[in-house]
Amino acid sequence: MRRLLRLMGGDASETPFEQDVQLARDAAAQKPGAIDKLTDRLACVPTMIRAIARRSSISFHAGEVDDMAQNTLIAVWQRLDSFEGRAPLEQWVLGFARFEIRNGLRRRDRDRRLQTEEVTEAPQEQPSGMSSDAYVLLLEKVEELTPPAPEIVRLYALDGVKFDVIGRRLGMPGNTAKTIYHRSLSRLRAKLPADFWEELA
Amino acid sequence: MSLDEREQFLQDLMDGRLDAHSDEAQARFEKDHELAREWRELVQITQSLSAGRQFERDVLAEALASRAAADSASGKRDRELVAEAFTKAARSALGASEVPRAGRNAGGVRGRRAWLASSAAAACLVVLAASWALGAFDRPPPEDLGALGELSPSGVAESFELFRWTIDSSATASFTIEVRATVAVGEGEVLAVESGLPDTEWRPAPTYDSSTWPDSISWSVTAYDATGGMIDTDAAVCRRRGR
Repeated sequence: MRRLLRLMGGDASETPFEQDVQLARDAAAQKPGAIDKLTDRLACVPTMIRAIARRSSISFHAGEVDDMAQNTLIAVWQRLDSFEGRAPLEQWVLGFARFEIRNGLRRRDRDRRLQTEEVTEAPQEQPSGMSSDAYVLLLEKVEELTPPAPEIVRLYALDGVKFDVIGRRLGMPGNTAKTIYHRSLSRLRAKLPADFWEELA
Repeated sequence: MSLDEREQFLQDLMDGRLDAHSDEAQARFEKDHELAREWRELVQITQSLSAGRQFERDVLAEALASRAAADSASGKRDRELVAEAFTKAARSALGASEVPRAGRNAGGVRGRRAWLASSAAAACLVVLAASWALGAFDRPPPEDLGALGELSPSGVAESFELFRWTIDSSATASFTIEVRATVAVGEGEVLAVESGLPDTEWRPAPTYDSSTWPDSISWSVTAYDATGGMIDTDAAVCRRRGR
């Protein structure tokens, strides 16, 4: 995925994906043609869900994928006004897809628990490799950090932006950004529940 | 070890000022198993974030690539699913904002008016949604958006002062370029990113000081159309001739 930020020469309020912001606002206002354009852009969401599931070794049947895609898109629609254009639209939507998959897995676990009370025990899905579930949990905890820590963690760890560049963007010395990042890791460690470490084990 | 000392020790490890395998670090871990555990978990968090980053890139690349199959049966079906979700969401948003709570319960004139207004609005929306959906089926197949051609520099380069590329597309509105110190395409520290470039070349601004960049870099360029949709992306790896 292309980088999200104009790293030099821009102030912190700049929105690199201004056209995407405009599209989101126009679609939210139901301006003619905007929903059509948004639909074209986000027709990739079902593939996104399938890709996350497959790469996490989780199998969903087609109906579940459709449901999760629809729930994702409805959530996106409801939040269109909050899209700030700091990343391309598709990357922003990916966050919604991740959370919806997590919800889908929770629903499935709940349904299975109900079924196994009546039927014999069904085999549990065991994601392998990088578990989407663990990653989503980690990102949830990142978002719970005190600002500007979530942004610093995202920029450094997920987007590979250097600390001095992050500092310029957020109006602080690069070393301060680095210190906040490192303290954030310690705080994340304290926030993560035991099952996160079990998943990694 | 005081709390401050612990924090400083861990920060030194994270900054790379102290090697976790050094005798000094190992001796501290030996004495303080909780500290060793804390360090292991911090490393795991860093690795998880890094793995997640690659995971997201792969998922997005796959999702964006699916646009090439927009004409296929599955591509059309996916688009219909998205259109249907937005119709549902728009209808639901209208219902929530237009139907006053009092109108649902009181049953008075004001409530009936509100109900009539919302029913009429909902009916209009259904008609709009239907005509929109029909329009979607009539839409001509997406045109071939074009492709990026040669990227320069690629391979051995004299300097990193000018980046050029070609594109065979009339739909291109802007480009985003990204330069990384690299071991492989898409990996390594980000050295520069510029978005919204109108031309097919880019000179790093003096603030980037490209002469200080490492000798091996990878760079990528992404072409966008006027709606912000990605047309194509390509990357090159190059090495500056020995200085």
